[in-house]
Amino acid sequence: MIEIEGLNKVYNPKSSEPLHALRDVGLTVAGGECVILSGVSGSGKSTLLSIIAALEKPTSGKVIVGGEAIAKLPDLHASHYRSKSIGFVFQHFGLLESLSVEENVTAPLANRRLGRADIAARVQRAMEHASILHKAKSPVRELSGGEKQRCAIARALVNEPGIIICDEPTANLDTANSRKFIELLSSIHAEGKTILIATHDPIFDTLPFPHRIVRMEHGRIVEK
Amino acid sequence: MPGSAFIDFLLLTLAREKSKHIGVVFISTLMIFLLSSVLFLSSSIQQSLTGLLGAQPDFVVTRMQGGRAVNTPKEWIEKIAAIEGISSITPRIVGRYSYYPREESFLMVGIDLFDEQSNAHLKELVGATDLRSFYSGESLIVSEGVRKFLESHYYRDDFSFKLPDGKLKKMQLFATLPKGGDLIANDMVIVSMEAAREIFGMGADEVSDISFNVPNDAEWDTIVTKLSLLYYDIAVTDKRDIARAYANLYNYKGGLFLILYIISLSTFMMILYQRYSLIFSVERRDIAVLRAMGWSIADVLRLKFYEAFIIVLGSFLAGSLLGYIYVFWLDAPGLVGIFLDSANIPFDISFVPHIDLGTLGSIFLFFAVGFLASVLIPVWRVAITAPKEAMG
Repeated sequence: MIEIEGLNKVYNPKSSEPLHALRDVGLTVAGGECVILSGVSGSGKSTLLSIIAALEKPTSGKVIVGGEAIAKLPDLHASHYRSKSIGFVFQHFGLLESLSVEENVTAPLANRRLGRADIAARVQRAMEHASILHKAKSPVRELSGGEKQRCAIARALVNEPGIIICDEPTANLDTANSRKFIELLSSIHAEGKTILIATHDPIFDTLPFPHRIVRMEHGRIVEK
Repeated sequence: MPGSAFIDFLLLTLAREKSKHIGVVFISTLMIFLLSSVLFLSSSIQQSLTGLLGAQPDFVVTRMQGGRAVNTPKEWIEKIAAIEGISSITPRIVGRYSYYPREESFLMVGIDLFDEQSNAHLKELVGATDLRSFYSGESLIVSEGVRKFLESHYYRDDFSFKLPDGKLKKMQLFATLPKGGDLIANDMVIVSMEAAREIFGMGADEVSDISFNVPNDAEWDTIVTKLSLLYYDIAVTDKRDIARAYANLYNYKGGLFLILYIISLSTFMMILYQRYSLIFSVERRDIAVLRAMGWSIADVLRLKFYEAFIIVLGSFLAGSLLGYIYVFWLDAPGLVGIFLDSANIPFDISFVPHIDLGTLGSIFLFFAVGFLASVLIPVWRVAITAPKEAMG
């Protein structure tokens, strides 16, 4: 479960024009729930996801994930939390261009003390799940947009996290690939993983599985 | 210790991004090669000099007139020998013979037939069992450098010295000294004492200087005082002066190189710093991606540290090995002219391999610390930035 209470994020707080990215945000997401954060660019949805993923620290407020307060975690603990609990899918995929699909999927495990066989098995499973196994040895720079997206999903899944966070996941996909992505998302949801998606793509308004749409404007939640 | 998965990933990124690293490795290897060559050369020269000076007499005295060295009377020998603590006193005829057409000069050394120590040493060097024909007064022994010089001027079997009265003295080439690490002997010509006296136009009761040893080091300063009291016109040179003069000369040349090296190194480090700074957005983005995937700042720094360390170590080993081959196998063509430059015969010597591990360690530390700092500081700055920001 994710519990957010009184969350504020101000960029450049000491400048003459501070930017209030989040204003008193409160949200509860049950385990296994799929929440779509919708809103125009600059509404604060990406910032909210970054804070839930402990990529950024809030100015004030509480974020409790699985009973653990993560808002002010020091770097080492925040990294451990991300590694253990969060799988991130970026808008521009965020792949390491010089590596192959398999190597990209291996990257989140490289800083963990796991055996080679264990890593190989996890990577295999994740690539299978994301339907990208057939491209395992291909350099990611040679992949299509849809394939890059599946590689990014496999990488997000490889640590077997409880929460999958997607920031504008279909922004760089055509309609056919967006639909394939939603199919994949559906199977991930079916496994009981919590899914948080920041998007303004209307395709997410009618997902084929239970979900909740949370609308944001000017850093506030306006509709839950 | 990093885990096997970390090492696999490290080697993977190094291999996959080799085109990114190859330029850095090349420049690093070149810089290490240059610095190690200079330090190997300097170290070998100083080592050779230390050995060489060890075999030289402790003191050399000569007569001065108006601040100019002149011929020394042989009669000084008796009075000097009478000073307690002095041994192995030897009169010498040593000087530079100028070869005017090319403005070159040879170091001419006259050897006495009755000087057993010099004779034995000479026999050993040239491998001759009988030196009698050499002492006949019409032969000369030359160094490899002089032999090559004479050959280049078509003197293959003999050479004619110009005497003070303008006549020519033709002498046969008896033997060539073996090529070695002897820096002083490079332009040496050895003749009999009588021949040297004739060529330099010295009287029978004169020598160029007188050498002797003082086995008790503690007495050296006392001996200098006694000699000064004995003769008002005496100049005393001891081995320490020569050692100091050579050390200053090579330290000066090595120091110049070091300054040039530091300038180049600083420039290189600045380029590296820029390279790993904010300019390369791909590098920034990759670090941000790793951070978002659960890598801590320490993990990122560890990856970049090992990556840079492998580059430094590889470049250091390659550069040092190339430096060793260049100096000790190929005799440092090009560089030797700068270090042993003189208006005389070009040096033709082999450097005796001598590696001071302290020097080698200093090169490594000097380079590695700068390199690692140039890489890790910008990486650290990117790593501490919120990954979202770093991903642009």
